Amino acid sequence: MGAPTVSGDDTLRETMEEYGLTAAELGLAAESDDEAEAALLARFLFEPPKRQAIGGERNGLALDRVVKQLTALLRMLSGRQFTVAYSDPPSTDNLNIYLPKAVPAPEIYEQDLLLYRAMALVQVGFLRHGILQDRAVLAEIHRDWVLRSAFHLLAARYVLRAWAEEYPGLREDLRRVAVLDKAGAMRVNVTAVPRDGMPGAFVPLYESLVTCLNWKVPGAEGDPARRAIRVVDGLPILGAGAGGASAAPPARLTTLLLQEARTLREHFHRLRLGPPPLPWFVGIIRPEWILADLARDIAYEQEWKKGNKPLRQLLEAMARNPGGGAPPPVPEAPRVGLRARFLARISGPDTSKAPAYGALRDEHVEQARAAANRVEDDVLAAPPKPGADGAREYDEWDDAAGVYRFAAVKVVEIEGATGPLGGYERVVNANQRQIKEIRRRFEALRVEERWLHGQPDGSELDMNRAIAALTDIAAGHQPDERVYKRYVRQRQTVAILTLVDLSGSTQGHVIHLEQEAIVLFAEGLRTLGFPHAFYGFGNTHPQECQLQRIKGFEEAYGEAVHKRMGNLRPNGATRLGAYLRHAGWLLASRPQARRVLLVVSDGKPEDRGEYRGKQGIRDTAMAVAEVRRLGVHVHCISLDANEGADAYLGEIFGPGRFLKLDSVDALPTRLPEVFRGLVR
Amino acid sequence: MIYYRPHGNEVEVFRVAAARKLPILLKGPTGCGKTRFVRYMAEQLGRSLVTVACQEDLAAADLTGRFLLEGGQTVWRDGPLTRAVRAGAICYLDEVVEARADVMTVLHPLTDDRRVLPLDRTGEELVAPDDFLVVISYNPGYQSVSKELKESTRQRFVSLSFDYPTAGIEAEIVQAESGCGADVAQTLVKLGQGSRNLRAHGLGEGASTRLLVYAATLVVAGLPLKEAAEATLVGSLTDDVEMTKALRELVRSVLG
Ligand SMILES: Nc1ncnc2c1ncn2[C@@H]1O[C@H](COP(=O)(O)OP(=O)(O)OP(=O)(O)O)[C@@H](O)[C@H]1O
Ligand SMILES: [Mg+2]
Repeated sequence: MGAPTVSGDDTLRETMEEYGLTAAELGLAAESDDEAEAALLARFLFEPPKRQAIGGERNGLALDRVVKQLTALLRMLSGRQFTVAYSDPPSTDNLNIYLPKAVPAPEIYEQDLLLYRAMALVQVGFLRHGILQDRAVLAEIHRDWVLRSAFHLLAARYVLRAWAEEYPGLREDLRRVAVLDKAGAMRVNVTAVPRDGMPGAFVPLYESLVTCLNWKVPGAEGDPARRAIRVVDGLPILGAGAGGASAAPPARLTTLLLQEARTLREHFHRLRLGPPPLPWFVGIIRPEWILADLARDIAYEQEWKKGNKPLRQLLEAMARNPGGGAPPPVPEAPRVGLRARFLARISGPDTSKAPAYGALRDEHVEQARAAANRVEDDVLAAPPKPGADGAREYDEWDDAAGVYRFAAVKVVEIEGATGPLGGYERVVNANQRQIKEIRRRFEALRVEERWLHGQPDGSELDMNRAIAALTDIAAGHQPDERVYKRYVRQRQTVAILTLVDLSGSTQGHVIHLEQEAIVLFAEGLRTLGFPHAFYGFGNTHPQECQLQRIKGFEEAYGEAVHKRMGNLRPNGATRLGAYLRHAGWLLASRPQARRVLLVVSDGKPEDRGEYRGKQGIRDTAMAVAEVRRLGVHVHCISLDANEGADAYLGEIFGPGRFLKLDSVDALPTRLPEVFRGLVR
Repeated sequence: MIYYRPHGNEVEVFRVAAARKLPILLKGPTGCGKTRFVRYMAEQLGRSLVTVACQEDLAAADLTGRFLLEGGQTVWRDGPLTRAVRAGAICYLDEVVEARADVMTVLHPLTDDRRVLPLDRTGEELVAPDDFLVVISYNPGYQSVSKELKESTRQRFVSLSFDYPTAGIEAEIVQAESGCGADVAQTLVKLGQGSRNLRAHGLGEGASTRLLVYAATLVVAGLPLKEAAEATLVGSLTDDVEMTKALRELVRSVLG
């Protein structure tokens, strides 16, 4: 073919000339790809998101108001799990979808919601059909804006058609989106371009998405854009039946789309046209986000923040110098104590090896428990005394050696991070309805009214029991004398301490939701009048664990507490055992008979040094056992969605004593519910 | 003939376990056909079935039996479990975690190789005949965190995990149970499956097969599909306002 070949740089230059955009506006200011990516990445990772004025005259509907509903609907329609974050224009990194914080004014609820739905459908569609999975394709469209836009428009056509075919109700919606002015604002990357005078060659591409934009110049028959769309429309959409599985094999699908996009690109080049701009609602494809493995980088970044840097440097140094590398780090020699015998006494018989039927007797387990309780009396009678610096020293279980290490770790209580007052109020204001609901449910915990059956004494005869006793007497048996019933209204107080994971890994979404969760929970507890406390953990130093007091038992709600609750800050690692032991003592010194320790954590107990893997898990499990013996009920809500999480959570907290949330989004509603379930 | 549509190897496993006198634990979400399955198996094996729905107040004596006064005489009355043992029936304890702890104690000697039921009150010790079988059910997704099956109980049972059937089979069931058309059944199943994508993400559980059968029944009785779906799938799954809106949108998206 005699078609001129064009390079990505040519089209880039043409794009800039065509729309009068600078390279920076195209997101490509830097000389090399590497630099550009680094800059983008840095901007994304380290710059706080720019805030738009929300709620004022200048915006329409804000995403926050509909995000729950929207995510729920899209999860139901697509069967995929993803989270929603902010970005304008909409986009995806193959894990999350990004939507604008708000749509332009004026707010018209129904229309704006329709628009959000359409924006999200495009992005979820990309996820669902694996459009952005092929790295070679992404690399090819990365710098070439003409190719990228053409590919994007064709892919958007495909996913919208797929939705419409599978869900008749959506077809109507998508047609209505087309008439919205807001939806059709045209952009190249993030920069708006005028939509008047749109070249006729582009028009069929928009017609295929939004039929009523106002430059309806009929493209000629045999027009390449029309032909491309026909080809795309001919691609089969699999899985459109019930079940809604994925479509055509993604690799083939993207290759076909790319082929068509390449043809269009040649065509536009011959006409000396730049990239077709994109209607706002179809968003933007950001190959750099995916190619740079943003998700991996964020994970890496968090690891790094957790303090693995020296270790990694060491490993890297060793890799560079494989022959005579640095010696491996020598673990600190444990200070071995006398409590080795402890293990056998508290863990009881090894139930894991018991045969499935019969042999395991509950009596054995009971005996072992009783033995453990006796040990507790002499060993754990008092909390450790605070040192001069206010820190308390706790023993730690050394799993490899099978002994406790005396005073191996210090826990010091510090005041939690503080900041502006607005954080707390914002959560309260945004969740009025939920708070009301939580309070309503908590109300039922406050006063318990019920009949206590089978009492030795009471206001009324318990007929069933009385008859049973009578018949026993008549039959010559020893009767059960507890034949009364009593109506009680009792106020059962429970002391509750919530321990929140503030380690480095909670950075971002998780901590945000933890904050929301504790605020909602606090609002419920306040009305209930149960004594309660919130503490946050995350240690920056292995031997000294700082426990941040967000709200102490004795502290009243006021500015200081609100400020702390609204400004959680992530930092450090998860030396969970130590924190549990300390929290256990805080609770054990409460006068209330019932005490609950709720742990919210997002991962395994892990700290620098030895405290990871088996060691971290075993020490934490021992800590849980110790705390339980203090008469404290320990329960965990884990945000660790990994497959293997059940195993270690079960080992630490025991079966049925933890709740694993698949999505952190559920935390604010589940935290109060778990508490309610525990004390009910 | 009881209608049951198998969707895995549950029938074979049940048969083998029953032949070997091994007690059976059925795990699965609500309305996925557990009760129906047990009724079906009882019929297939030609054994009678005693069903006990467990709730908080159910105590051991409610299962084993108690003395009653009749005309000045004390008369022993067998409870359902004792009756099942004597008759060599299948005893099905539905939602067993709901019952009081002492119920489990009664079940333990019956569900290991001893297979006996001691009745302290009458001084008897019943030895279960070969045809006697304990089947319990349990919904692990159930809300209350304190209600978990004890390990020593769990390990006495052969467990069969149930889940909602695949789309094709479920549509078949909905059609057979309600007498609705294939289109209606398929549409309802699509809705049901959509709602199940939200399990643990806003909904405790998605729509059960039972709920889909209800919806189909309403349609057969003349209600428009949309209203039937609204009354069952939207109304019965959640009270949360946002979730309700999302479910309503799902119905609208599927039905058009
Ligand atoms: N495999 C199946 N074959 C036939 N009918 C089924 C099947 N699965 C579900 N159903 C239908 O679903 C209804 C509910 O089933 P069933 O009562 O057995 O549920 P379940 O699992 O016992 O629920 P629950 O845990 O709430 O007691 C049945 O009445 C029947 O109409
Ligand atoms: Mg049932």
